Amino acid sequence: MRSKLLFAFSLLIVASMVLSACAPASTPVADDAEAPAAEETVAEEAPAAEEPAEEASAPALDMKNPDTYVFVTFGEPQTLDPAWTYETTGAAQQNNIYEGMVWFNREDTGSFVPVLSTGWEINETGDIWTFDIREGVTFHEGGTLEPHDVAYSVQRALLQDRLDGPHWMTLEAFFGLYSVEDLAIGDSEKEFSDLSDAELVAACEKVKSAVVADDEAGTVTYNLATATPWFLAMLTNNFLAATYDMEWMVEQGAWDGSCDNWVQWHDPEQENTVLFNVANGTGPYILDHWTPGEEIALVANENYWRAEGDPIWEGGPSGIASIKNVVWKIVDEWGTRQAMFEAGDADFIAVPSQYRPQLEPDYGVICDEAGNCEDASDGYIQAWTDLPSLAMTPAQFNQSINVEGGNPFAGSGELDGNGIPAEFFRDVHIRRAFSYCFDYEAMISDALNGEGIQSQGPIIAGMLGYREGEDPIYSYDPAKCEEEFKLADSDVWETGFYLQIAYNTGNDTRRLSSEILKAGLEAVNPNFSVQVVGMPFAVLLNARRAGKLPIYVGGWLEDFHDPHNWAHPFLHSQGAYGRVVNMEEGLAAEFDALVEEGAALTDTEERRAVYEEIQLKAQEDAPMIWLYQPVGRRHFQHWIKDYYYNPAYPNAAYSYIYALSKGE
Amino acid sequence: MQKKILDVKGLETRFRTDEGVVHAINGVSFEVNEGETVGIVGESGCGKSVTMLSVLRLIPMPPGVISAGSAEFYEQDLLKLSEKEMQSVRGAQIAMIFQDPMTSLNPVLTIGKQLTEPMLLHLSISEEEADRRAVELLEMVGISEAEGRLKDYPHQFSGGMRQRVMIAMALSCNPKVLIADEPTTALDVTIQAQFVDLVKRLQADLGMAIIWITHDLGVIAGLAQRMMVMYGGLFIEEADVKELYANPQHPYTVGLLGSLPRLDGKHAERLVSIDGLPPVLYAPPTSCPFAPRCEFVVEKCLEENPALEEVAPNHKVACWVDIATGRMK
Amino acid sequence: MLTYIIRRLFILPLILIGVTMLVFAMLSMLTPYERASLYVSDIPKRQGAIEDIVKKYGLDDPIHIQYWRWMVGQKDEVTGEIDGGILRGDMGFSTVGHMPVAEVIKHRLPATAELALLSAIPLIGLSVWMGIKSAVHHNKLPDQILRVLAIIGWSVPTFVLGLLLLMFFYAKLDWFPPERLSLWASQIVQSGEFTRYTQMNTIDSLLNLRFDIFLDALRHLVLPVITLSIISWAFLLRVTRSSMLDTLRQDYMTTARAKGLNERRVIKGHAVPNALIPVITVGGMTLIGLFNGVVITETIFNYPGLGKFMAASAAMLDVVSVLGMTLFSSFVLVFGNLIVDVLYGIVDPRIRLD
Repeated sequence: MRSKLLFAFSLLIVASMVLSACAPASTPVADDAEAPAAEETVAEEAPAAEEPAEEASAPALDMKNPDTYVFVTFGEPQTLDPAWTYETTGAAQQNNIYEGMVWFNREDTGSFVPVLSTGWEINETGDIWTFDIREGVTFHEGGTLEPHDVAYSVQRALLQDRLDGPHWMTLEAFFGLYSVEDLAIGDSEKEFSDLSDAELVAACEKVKSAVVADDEAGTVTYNLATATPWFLAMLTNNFLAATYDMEWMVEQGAWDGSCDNWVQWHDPEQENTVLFNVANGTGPYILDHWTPGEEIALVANENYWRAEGDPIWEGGPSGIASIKNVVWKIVDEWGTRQAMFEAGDADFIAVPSQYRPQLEPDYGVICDEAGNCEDASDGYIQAWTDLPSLAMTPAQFNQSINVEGGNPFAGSGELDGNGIPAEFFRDVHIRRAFSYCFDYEAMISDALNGEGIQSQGPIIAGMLGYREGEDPIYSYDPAKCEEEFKLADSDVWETGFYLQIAYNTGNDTRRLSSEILKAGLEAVNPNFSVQVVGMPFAVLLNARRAGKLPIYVGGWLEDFHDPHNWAHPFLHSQGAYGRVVNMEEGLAAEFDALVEEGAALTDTEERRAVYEEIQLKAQEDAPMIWLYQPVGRRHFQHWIKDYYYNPAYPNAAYSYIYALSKGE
Repeated sequence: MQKKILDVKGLETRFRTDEGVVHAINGVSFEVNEGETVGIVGESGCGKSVTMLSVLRLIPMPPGVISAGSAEFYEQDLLKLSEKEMQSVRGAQIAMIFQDPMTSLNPVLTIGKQLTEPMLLHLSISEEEADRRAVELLEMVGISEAEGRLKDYPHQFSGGMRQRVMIAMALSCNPKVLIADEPTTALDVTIQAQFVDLVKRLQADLGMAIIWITHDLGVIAGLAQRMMVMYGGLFIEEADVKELYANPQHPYTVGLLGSLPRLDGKHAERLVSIDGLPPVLYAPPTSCPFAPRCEFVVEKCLEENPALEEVAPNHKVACWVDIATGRMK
Repeated sequence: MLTYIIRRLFILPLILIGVTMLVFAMLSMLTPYERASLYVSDIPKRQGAIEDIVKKYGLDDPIHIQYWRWMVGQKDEVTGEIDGGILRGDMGFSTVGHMPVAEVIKHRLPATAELALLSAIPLIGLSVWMGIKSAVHHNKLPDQILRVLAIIGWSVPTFVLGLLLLMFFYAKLDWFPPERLSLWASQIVQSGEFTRYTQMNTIDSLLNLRFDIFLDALRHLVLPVITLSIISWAFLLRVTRSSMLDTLRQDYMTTARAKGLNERRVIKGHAVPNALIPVITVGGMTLIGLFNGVVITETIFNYPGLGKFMAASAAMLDVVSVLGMTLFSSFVLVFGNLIVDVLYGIVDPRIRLD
């Protein structure tokens, strides 16, 4: 009796599953009026769509969810608090929810349109910027925008300055320092935790005086440390620009705006800020919910301040957002994402470069970065290809390797054929030799599937300072590689060496780059031995911190669109990468001087000269092997309209959904 | 006048094994009369159990097959009945108890359930009635506090008690024949005696015929009226009990009796044993199956298998040789 | 029986402490900088950032201090509030899960439970039934077929099967989608008009009388259930089969037949109750194992269960999450083990529990 019951029950379950499979797969008709229109045009294009089950490879042409933008990718934000955010996933959400003084003019990374401001003025010396604040703007939770909200927002962000956050940039602009704790410490040489209350208050007052609001005049004034030509570019970043409703924030328990105990809100844990998983901005979308591990949902702001017929740029969107719902779906597994794309459940999916060829047969429309589109086949994919990204990957040398206590990356730690000494890479000839022994073309074709260009130096193509018309100095040239090795101070050519290159396991591109370098070096001299080692991020981090890695293949993604954000990180002794290069003092000083000069000038042509000099020097001196700039693609369903490519967006396909629409 | 209730003729059973077809029973015939006790004696593997299992058709049908013969029970050939009809015979008309009391009862069902099962199946009585009769049965076989013990499980009984339960179960529907397949082999000696007494008493009260299979000649002596000796899947001697013990005519029977330890035997006398092992027959026997081990063997024994022949009143033997003289008859 | 249960439960806290100590001991093999990787998304930009992070989270404190902190919590210097502490009922905040660890488990457990329960029923039901059939028809055609299927089911790698099923039944046919609900159903479920009782979509939709959502939820469960239960199904089938074969050989089977019972009653009444005893243990443990989540299935079908969370926490070295999940898993295992043992004692009268 028992087993019979079990069997019957399980048969029931199986039967109901089979039955439910036959249930209609698409949206119930209860949805809005857009649905019928969509279905009609779909029927025109592909009659086969009526029976998708029959054809083995019929693309899914029914536009499901006509009022929702379903964005399927891996990764999720650490937090939704703009001031805390220093990664693109969180920033992408915030781009839709919050607004600042300006935004990019459509796809143009160099020109800006006013958003929460209506205009601005810069003083002669370029260090005081005054913005007129727009009136009639409301927050999602109901408040009204006033200049003091803007000032509060910036002050709060600067005072928060969480560890390893983005505010090294903003504080550099306002004070020439890299942390608010350094600002508070000043010359006192104390520890931050030992500062007196008065000293802390003083620091806060300094921050407050950096951004001043005049509610009556309707303006906000930014007082920068020095002339900052890239200030507008930096203002497109929400960690600086996102504007909060001060009254609402204080109600929620955020910093109250007074200097009495701001330390309480300084350097909070990721989850301990008011804006961790709630949002209240002025933007065209409102946060609906964030289910960690699953999805983030946005909903169109029905009370958006921008009036219909008053577009953000000519021909741009106005009024309430066209796409009413947005869902950012977290799907880690590539196969599953692809299946969702084919089934029509996803409007966009993230496609790692090695999987791009799999989708090529279904490319229906192919567009280039300028938006010129061509029909390719009757596939369902709208593919945007050859999109240059504002990222660059170098292989950086550690010019003073920590060999104390044994360092497997450096082998024996001596130049005895079984290792390298601590200052192996201090010798410019060795650095140049390595640069000549790298097969850049193989890199592009093998590791990048042809989607990339060789870097000319720290400054990327299209940016001020890039030496137009010149090829990079280095190309794969074993003869020159040998020549440079022989010019080195030590007798490395006879003795040979051994070293290890480490990459982050899972990152195929970096692995391939390392192996190409290995192949080039070992081919030129049998005494040269290179081992490529993959390791988890945690181990890599540990080794790098200890200064043990001789070569590190890293990557830099632009923070704001200005050559300063390229030269500084790589070449300045305080830069993110520059600080672990360990250049010898004289050379370091030279680079520092150049970088600082470029940052201080205001005249574009003067800056151009300086940065072009930096670019050349960075090649000649080869503190890094300047590997490549990747070129990317974006894959949409063909019914996504009005897309344009702005490489400076934190997420080029998500950051400004307000401009997009869905339809045939 | 004794009424014949079971008449088996020429029963043959074979088993297909990996090594070949084993001829387990090769033409067995016997009769059982109402109320009598018949003993079947032989070594392990000679085919005694298989014979009775064949009669009840409890042989697993692959790999076994009853290839010839008939078994008339009250003039109905059991071998020709349908399975359903057979099921109404088993447990109700002919019951069987088995050798190992430790494994013959289902460990996860209560004694009560196992006892009442055949009754509820074969008799049209209610559950309460069945329970009542189960209690009676347990008392009948000498188990005290019977009512409480219905809810107990087999592992809560000792070996001897379990075997009593088996009997109770077998007799629950008042069968005409009780087949007991070596029921005391697994019990120790004192318990054996008690059990034999019990069976005698039950037979006196209920009057069923008993077919008692054993390899222990001592136990059967006090119980059976007639004895049949089996070897190589055949009966090789048949006689009334006293006659068989006094006057065994087959060399094998002699050997069996001789190998019994005797209380009045001479001290430090070696036990007589028969050299060799019983045969496994992969073909029907064309010669006497005992020949390889027989001390009286003559040429004829190797050429032809002797049939059962009467050599004295109610005494049949299958042998070419007269063991008194040692020469062919 | 009761004392047995109480005694077993008494050991539970000791086991929990032991296991968590073991996890901490393994932690001590990592350097503080390796552990700091949880809090940085890439190589830090600022000098000294890593050291500050290590100091901030106390990653270089002695291991027993860190363990103590995890047990009793930590006082925030600035606000004076006490944060964390298992003994205070606070499992800490999960960096990987973006919410307190207890919340993550509470949030994901119903999904895992739904998947486990819905897999268990057909899985156990089918495999036991088929195992019995297989043994009864030993070496005949049904047995041969089932044995081959069992071997295939046992050998096919989960991720291959899962992806193949997904490609065919979803990408091509759009019958059985991944995840838990379709977009339209998800929107209804999250709106105010739908009341949540158990957080399990199938049950809740029935309780809300929304049969369309019920069917939608079932549709989404088909492929994950098949994928994850195939291996267990094959295993249980073989266990049932061999247990049944063993049982059929027993003497009491002949006794039962000798009583005149027909074959069906002999099998069902006498063989099956005996044969199922070991199957209960194995089946029970399989089911309990499912409650810890199934990483591969969850990843392929994007199912938000505990398996993926545990794997991600371990990979990211999110110690707090790993410890929280360890506590949960240990609890489930000990408790589940206890239930199975008690069941075993109930089903097999020969077992005495004391």
